[in-house]
Amino acid sequence: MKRHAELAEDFLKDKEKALWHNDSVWSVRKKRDQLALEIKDFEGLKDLASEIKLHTLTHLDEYLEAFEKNALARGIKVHWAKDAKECNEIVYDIARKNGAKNVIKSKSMLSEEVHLNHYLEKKGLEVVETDLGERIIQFEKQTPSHIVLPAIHLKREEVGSIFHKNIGTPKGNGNPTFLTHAARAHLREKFLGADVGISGVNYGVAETGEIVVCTNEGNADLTMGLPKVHIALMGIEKVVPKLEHLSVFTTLLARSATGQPSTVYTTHIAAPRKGGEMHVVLVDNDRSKFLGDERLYEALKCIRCGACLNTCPVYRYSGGHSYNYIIPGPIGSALAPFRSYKNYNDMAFACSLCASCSGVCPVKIPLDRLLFHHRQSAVQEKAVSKLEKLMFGFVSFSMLHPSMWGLLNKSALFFMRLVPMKLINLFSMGWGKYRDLPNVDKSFSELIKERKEKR
Amino acid sequence: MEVFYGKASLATYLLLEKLGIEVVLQKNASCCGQIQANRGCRDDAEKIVKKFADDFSNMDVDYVVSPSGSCVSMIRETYPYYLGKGNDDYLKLKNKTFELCEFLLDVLKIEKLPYDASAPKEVSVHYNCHALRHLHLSQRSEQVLKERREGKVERLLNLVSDIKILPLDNPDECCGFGGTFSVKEAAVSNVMGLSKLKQHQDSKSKCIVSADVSCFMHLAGLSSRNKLGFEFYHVAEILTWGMGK
Repeated sequence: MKRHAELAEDFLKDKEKALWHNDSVWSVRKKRDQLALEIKDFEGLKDLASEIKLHTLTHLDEYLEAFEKNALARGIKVHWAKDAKECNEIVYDIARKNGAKNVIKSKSMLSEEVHLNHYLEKKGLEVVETDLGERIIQFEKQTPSHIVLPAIHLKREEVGSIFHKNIGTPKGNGNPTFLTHAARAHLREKFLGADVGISGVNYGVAETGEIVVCTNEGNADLTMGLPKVHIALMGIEKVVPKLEHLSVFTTLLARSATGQPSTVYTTHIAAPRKGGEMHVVLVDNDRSKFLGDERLYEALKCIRCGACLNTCPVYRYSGGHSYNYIIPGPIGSALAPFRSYKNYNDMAFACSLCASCSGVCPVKIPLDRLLFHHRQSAVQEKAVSKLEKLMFGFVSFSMLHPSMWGLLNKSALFFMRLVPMKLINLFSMGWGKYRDLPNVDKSFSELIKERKEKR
Repeated sequence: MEVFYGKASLATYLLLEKLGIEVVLQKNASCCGQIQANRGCRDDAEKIVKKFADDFSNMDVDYVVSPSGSCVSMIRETYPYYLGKGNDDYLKLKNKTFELCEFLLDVLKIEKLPYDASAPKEVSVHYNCHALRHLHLSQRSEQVLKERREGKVERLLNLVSDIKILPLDNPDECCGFGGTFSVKEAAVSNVMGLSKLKQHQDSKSKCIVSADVSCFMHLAGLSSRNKLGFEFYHVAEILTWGMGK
């Protein structure tokens, strides 16, 4: 498996596209800044959102049980899934009992996390993503490169040719409006023929047992409302205590995510449709493991707005597919290594620790601190090469012994004054590939000594 | 600060002395341990952090001042990770440790320099991320604020006559140094650095001033390799221009 650094290097080979990707994503961050200014005390609202989340996470059992009780009372069926396997089995079981063949889906990062589509397709079901961006990448059998803007890595011309190949739009037409209309016509057929609709959940309200789904395209409303059966996948961290807490999050979500005052649709589903079924699957899948960690539990505050991706220069210049985990960028790098240090230890290092992510996060997850923490664990878990450990061991030893450190500094100076810079650059690994070493002038000790001698 | 940027260290020393401060150097000092910490070498980092904390706690001084924001951020924000939050000796050290700009503006509260400092130059300012986002030397763009205050480096540069500060479009963007990040993720680091230098070019600046030289190793290395011709100065160097006259 290629690591982030290699995948990023590949992505950067098409420099023009990488710069275009950076500009597109950065423009979303700039919109966020503008829209956030419209709120009287955006920073105060972030504090409040963080506190509500911390409170909920530390009383999660109570709120989940209340949610279940109130949802059941509304005729919503509630299922508990401890991991991805259980989640997929529950969904398939519901589909099977209803004799379903065609499944439509609105956007759900949780369904990506548990690889639901793959599972259902293997069981012989047709699964169609109805979010435009998700549908585009589904045609190409790709994963989302961004949690809110899943096809942000594709240019309009590329989308045009994907549509030409898959739904027969004219070759060479990359007009966004035209393509959107074509997608709508294509998806309308799928909506009408669907037996089951699967959605995600932005918030589950404990007090009322209802779920809330926020989207921009209206596809989730059709997904949840048209087929006889609606299955909503909800991570257990998505519960909020009361309706009154919702406004805090809806005010922050769209502003932080895309720089909109609100999502175009904020839909509350509080009961099954007449004659239909509604199921909510509450999924743990390692969330309780996070909850038990004194630092990492804060990552569960995430409301999946993607602001940390938009602000992250490493994400912007390396693209979402450079990260091996399904969620890229700072929040993905905070979540993934905890699931498996072996598979994802590189993600905590795909970061310059600039901490911009922690500053934009609407629920104040200390993302840079979490990545810092992962790094300590990654090295403990021997996920770093022996050679590197050895080199670091030598430098650390010198730093701990003043005379050794002095000697090391002096020999470095001597060496760099003696050997031509071009030769040193050849041996300075990743450094010398792109940069020269600094010119060596007089060291501080030498300058101080000179000054004393002059006096 | 010792090997590559001796001049910046000397300028800091001379500036403090000129302001009437008795400056004592810690001869045993090596490093604050940030390299090990950010690389995730927890055991090594912990030992170096303890040595540093002991070395400086045992000095009979009123303040510990460093001309490097990232080192001060290490001491202020990251040391508790290794030493524990409630460690009394550490808290004493933390409370008396200041980054140079903070020390000049918040502790000494200087409003002018005791000599005619003059730097006839057009410059642009680079904040390293830790100085910006951990020490708040300037206001971060992520923070949603209706009004913005001037950064501390700019405030100090304004004490120098004849200088002109050129603004950047997106001054907060990380330059991509990030310690070992610059080697481990060299390709991304390179494009981040070049984009940052392009911002400085667009501002028409040929001279970059910072309160931290760590990013300079990377930026100057890129400037040299790509023949961009930038000059780099630590803010202390600019502040001492004209001191000898």
